[in-house]
Amino acid sequence: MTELEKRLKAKLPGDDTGIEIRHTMCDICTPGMQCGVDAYVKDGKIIKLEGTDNFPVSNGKLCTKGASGRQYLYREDRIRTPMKRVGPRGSMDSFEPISWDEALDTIAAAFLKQRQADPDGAVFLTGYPKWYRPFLQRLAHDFGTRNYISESSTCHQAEVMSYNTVFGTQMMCMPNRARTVIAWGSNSLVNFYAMGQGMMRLHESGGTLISIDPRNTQTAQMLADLYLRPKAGTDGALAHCMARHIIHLGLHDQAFIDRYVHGFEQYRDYVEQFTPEKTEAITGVPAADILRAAELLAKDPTGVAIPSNSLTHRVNGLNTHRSVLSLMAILGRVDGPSFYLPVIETFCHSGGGFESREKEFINSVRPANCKPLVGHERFPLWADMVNEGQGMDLIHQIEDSRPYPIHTLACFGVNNRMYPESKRFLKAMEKLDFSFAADIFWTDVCLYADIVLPACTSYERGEVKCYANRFVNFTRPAIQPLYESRSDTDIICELARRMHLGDELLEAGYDACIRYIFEPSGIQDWEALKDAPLPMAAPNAKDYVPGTYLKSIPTPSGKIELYSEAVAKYADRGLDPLPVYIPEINPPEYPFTLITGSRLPNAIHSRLHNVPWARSLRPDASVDLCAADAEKLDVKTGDDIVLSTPIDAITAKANVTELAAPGELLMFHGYREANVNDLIDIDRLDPYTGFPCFKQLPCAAKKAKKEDVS
Amino acid sequence: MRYVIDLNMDRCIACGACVVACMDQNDIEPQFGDHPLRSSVVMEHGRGSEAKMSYMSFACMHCEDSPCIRACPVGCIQRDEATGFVVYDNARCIGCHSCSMACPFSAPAFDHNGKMHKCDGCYMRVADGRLPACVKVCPMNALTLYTEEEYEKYQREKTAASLSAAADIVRGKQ
Repeated sequence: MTELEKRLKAKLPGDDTGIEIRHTMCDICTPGMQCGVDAYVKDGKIIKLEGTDNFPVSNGKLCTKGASGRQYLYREDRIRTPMKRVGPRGSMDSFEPISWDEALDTIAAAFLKQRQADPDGAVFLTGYPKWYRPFLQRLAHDFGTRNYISESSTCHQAEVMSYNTVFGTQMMCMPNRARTVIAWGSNSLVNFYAMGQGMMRLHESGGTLISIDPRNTQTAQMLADLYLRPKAGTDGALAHCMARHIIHLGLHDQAFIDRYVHGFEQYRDYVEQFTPEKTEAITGVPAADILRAAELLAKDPTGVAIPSNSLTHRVNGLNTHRSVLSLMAILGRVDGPSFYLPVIETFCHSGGGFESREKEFINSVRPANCKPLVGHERFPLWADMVNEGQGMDLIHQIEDSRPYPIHTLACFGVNNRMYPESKRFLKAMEKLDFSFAADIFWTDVCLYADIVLPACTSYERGEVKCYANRFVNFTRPAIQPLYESRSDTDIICELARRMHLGDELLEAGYDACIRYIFEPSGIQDWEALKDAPLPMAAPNAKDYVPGTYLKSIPTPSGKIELYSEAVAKYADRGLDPLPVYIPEINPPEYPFTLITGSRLPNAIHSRLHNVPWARSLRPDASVDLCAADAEKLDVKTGDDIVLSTPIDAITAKANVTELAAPGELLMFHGYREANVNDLIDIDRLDPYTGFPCFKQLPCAAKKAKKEDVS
Repeated sequence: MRYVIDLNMDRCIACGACVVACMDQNDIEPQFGDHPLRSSVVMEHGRGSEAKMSYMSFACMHCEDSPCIRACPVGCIQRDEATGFVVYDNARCIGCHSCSMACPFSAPAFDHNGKMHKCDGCYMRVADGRLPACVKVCPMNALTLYTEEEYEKYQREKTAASLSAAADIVRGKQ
């Protein structure tokens, strides 16, 4: 090989190779890290990605998913042009290409017809991407309905509700200053590496880490000084036993409680029943370990318990999450240097260190006198706390037209396999008068829509994002959008224009809206920000001053609430103001407990299942089970195994590993060939939040017979 | 200058980011039957509460005495003078697998055309002042590129640290 050939093969940038590095960002997992990305571009094509050095939070690194970005971008099943359905739903053969003009005009006409009849008969639905959410919600409001629903109906919003119930605001804790940390139900090494690095630093510098998790993860194996493995769904009892022990030893902060905490007496009386012996019987965790964890946490004045939102994915989910937050309240570990601090979400769930006009952008055009939002009558606590519909009731409302009919659906990035009984979502789509789907890839939802629109990825668009409560980034497209794809926000703004909704700001496009939303940031020169090689500090970003929150606690009682007044309003609906533990017993015919959705390094929902690099790390849709259970079922790794519930049955590959505890089965979601969410009852929901029981589902398992394998 | 790619097993979580970054760098297409140049694995020992997992990532070890270089009948494999990495040009590869059989780690892999490919330490990137793709991406900083001198220093410090920790334990017992 010549020197130039070697340099080309090594993809080295330079005039001789024609390879140029352009700065962009990863939006595959969103909005957690959203790492800065250097795209190596040659002849308008991306030939390699790597992390941008000195980028806030990610600092030159990428995770397994982000490293797969190039194959994600060039996935074979990208939607290439707008399409119109001309045949039966569910088949690619039923679609023919149309122009953008025809597609957008068809959508506008169908929506305007619905608007004339009843604006609340339309629902604006979004799936996993979060970057355009304020724009879609504003479009819904302009249209005349509050029926905007996001995928946060199954992810994230329940933990926000938990923080709101206890603290009146969302809180966050990074393990930077704490010397004792409980990682509760989380494996941040895999799912959020910036936090994982923090956990690793804590471990390497001699701090104490306690892992509480049914799954024997990397965090438990590599970092934990103490590992507690409760049976799935018993975390609430475990937390209460720890609280009882802390109170018995007098390690709680009575002065803090007297001044700032509401309902301590009721809480103290309630947790008294969780004796170590009884809690060992409930959780399967040795009593001595529970007491030791409580003492390690309580005796280190910097100690914090960090609960994962996985705790909310069960029928008693909100209370489980609240149980962990309650520990922090009685220890007074709130609003101090190493403790929980209030989160200020500047834009699209990321913090820039200043209050933007995002809420105003969304709510200044919010219509009055709407019908109740989807799910709001069924989930009153959600209705009080969340400014959007609870999507877990959407299928019912389309099926039954109660409390009123839904006829028209806008879908952005929607994946029916995020919904329990996923097939019913597609069935419900058949009942609609009109639906469209904007997406990067051909999903099943696209195949059931009337019009399909091609959206582009983060590498093909300009996008704003905040980092580390200080920095703002505005990317330029690293390459032109592939095929005829457009950015989601361009589609939303264009729909606003074609429907003549009279929203001058939205019609002016993404950049104009960003200038409006970010006006308080103090940023003047937006083109300079786009040209900057790294995110820039917002001039008006300010560090949070610890102690501010405690001066004015935004709960109904004005105190941190162990006894929730927000929940007490709904005592007649069976909601309990205390974070009660409710045991669940598996029926004998469903002896296993299925835990779904725990992060794999190489997957995020379904979006990387069709990416060969990521998929090669774990090719099969597989069920993790321990060796003892594998022997009982007579299966080995690679054998087919059938999982069943009263709702449905699926066949997947067995993967024998001690990651799974005896009696528990672990399976990732989103696989087309084995969709674990088909097994979950659409009505097995947390009555507080409406969240499905992804992390605690009674289930049967058996070795597959020949006829089970299709 | 000679270089070493080191894996700190106390940090590796077997997430596979290095495996994918390597595939991106080297245009490996597993869907067509290419074998990856780097692998990550979880090894498990014991059961239940006794279970111990080891997480690791590995590729060509770039041995001092590289048997693959001598095994190749058509001279595809050689040592890069500038970096010390064992590199290759598979234009003449006849797919005989001699290199793979000679390698104690079975590091040489084969693409879907049957031609050998392996980790070359991203020697062109390293010579250009960049990190190997696997080291660059590693989110846990488990993979590190050292010069030989840096590596010896790092090893000495590691040994000193473990001796010092052992001494603390002994003193504590007394």
